[in-house]
Amino acid sequence: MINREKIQNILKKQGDVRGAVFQTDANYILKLGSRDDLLKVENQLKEWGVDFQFKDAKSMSWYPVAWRVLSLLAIKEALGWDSAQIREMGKNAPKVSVIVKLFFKLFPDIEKFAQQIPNYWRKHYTAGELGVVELEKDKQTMLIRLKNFSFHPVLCQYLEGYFEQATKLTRPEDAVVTVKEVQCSFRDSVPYEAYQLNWTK
Amino acid sequence: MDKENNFSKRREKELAEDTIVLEKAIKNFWEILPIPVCTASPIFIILETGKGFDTLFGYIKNELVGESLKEIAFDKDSFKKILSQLAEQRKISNVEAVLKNKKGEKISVFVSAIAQEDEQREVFSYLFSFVDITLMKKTERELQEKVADLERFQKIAIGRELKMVELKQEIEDLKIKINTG
Repeated sequence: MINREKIQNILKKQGDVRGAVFQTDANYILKLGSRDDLLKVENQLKEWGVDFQFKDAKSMSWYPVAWRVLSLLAIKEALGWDSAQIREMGKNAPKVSVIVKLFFKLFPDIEKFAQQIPNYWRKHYTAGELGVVELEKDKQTMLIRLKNFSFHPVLCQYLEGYFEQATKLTRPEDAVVTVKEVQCSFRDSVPYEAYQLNWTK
Repeated sequence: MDKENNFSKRREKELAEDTIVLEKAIKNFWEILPIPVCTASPIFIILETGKGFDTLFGYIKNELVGESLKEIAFDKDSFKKILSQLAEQRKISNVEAVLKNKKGEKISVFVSAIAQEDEQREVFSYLFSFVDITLMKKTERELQEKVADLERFQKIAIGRELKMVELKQEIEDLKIKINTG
């Protein structure tokens, strides 16, 4: 159970996110559950002072990132989901996201894909910067770093799944893609989140 | 400075509103278009499917997103050839192919597709459309069978006619022989 003080601290943080993220959340909740589940999450958010309904979210409009973080926490709280399920929700998002469908250029050339990554981030968020720190094409690995985006660990788990699926969309169907958060600002006293991407093809 | 800021904010707001209108229009277009359409990545991973596509191939929305387009090929090798042709020419029109629905049933289609390119002319996705010609192909097959039947009948009928002419000639020859004999 998250306390009032922590909620207020999250709400104070600056930055906006596209409404598409709420639509992809709703899509996943409805895929696994029902409209009642969405209502439970909305009620939880209301209790925390965020009057928000998933059906009103417009994919290209901007909403506070704090709401996005609280909506993930509300999903955990109201539906009893664990971190693994939040990660799975992140994995589902690129498949249904309007932003991915409209703006992502999913080049199979990993270098070209890597060049697009900061741009993909800016399409979604006004806060934080996502960049490629290291790309080893031969070893089929890439290290990406997300700076100035220290909201809550729940977002780290979600993004781990998200990055995994977004990368998977650029690889052949039989390729195995894994993404792991190797450094976390909440865990490792670093001012960023770092994710290691690996792929087999 | 304030004037500039206000102008920039107004433009940003207008752009945001325009984007929402465009997004709605695109969404409606995908929803209402009866022709099966889909987009795929440069290595033919399905990125989006329209309602017509889902209906024709028997999948639920987004079920095939992330899968290879080859999933819907009945004969993977011949479909691969079509995709290679597309990768080379960047556009194909009404190429005949045999695909399959989720149940594995054959669906004959005309495939058309066009590459979407970036500023460096590098392909970042393909837009596909499929015209279901299964019924047309069935009618074509039935017609071909009927034509073959007719040809067989014609062959028999003409053969019979020629035999009649031959027999008539034989009778005539015999009559002459009797009369002169």
